[in-house]
Amino acid sequence: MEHSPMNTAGYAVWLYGSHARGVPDLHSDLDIFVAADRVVNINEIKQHVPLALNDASVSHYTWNEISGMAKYGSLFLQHLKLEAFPLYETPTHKGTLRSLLDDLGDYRLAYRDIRGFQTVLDDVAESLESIDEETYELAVLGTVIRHSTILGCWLLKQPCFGRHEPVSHFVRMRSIDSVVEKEFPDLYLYRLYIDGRLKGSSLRKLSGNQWLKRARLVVSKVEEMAHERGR
Amino acid sequence: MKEVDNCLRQIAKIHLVARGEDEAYVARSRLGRLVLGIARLVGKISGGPTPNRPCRLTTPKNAIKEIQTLVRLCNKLNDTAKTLVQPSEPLDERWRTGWSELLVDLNKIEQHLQAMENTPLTT
Repeated sequence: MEHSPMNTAGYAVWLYGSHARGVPDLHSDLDIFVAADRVVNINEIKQHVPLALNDASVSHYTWNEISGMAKYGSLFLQHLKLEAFPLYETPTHKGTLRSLLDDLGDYRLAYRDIRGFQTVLDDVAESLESIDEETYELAVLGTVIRHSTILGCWLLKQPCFGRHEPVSHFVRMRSIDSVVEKEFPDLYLYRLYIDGRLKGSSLRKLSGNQWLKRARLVVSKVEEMAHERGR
Repeated sequence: MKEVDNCLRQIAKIHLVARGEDEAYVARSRLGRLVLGIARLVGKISGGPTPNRPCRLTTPKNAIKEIQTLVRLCNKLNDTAKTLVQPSEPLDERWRTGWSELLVDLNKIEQHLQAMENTPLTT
């Protein structure tokens, strides 16, 4: 079903992420998805949504962007389809997003993503050679490992979008050294620190080069999966 | 100066994304690395702290004009980049449409850094 751009004034506000799954922790954002062709400010959302939104992480997409993402089976939209639910929709757009998510096809950009992961890892390698401050690079490595395992789980036909779960699941399924699963939560703390969700004193000293090697291994396993699935 | 070279190298790499030679996915980490590089450069020149994460910069007390300008340009870039790379996955369409604004910010920073490299900084 083709979804054309809609009445541009209407919008939808959905909840996704750990709060939608009912498993938030101390570091969890309140993840809010807003589909709208105009800026919908937080005060407007507050009028309809009975949640404490001051610290919410709001992702804004236009209806055209969403339609475009649906055409390639966007993993983010798959994520929403799996766990998100509406908090408020204007009367003109009730059910619009749900209908679009119900019609999503399979994800089609696995190789593009893998190329992106590999390029980011090359950047990290170059950066690690020239700097002695690894904090930012460790955060980038944590992000790439998480994103690549989300894709890996999708290719395994076992979608998983949490913070640590995709890594645990993919590492087990593809027989990668269990130390990656065990130590990944420490690595991901760097991401939370970079995002301002954690104090630097909570970080354990990690080796950038060691995690770069692990990240390359994980991405290569995801690439193998893509070949197996013919993506 | 090593820090200026590093920032100019990051800018060149962001241009590769704009030209479609690298995937849009890499834009987020490259922009973050540039903002961090500028923050560390500002810290080094002004004798202030050198942060280990990208952040909104504040102009150091008694900062020279070059640094004041750099802080302003970097914060503007940070704001533009946030909207552009905020989505959970790279949106090629948003990157293409948002690129023109980012390019303006990036070119200003590049010119400013090049001028800083060629002119001794004075207080």
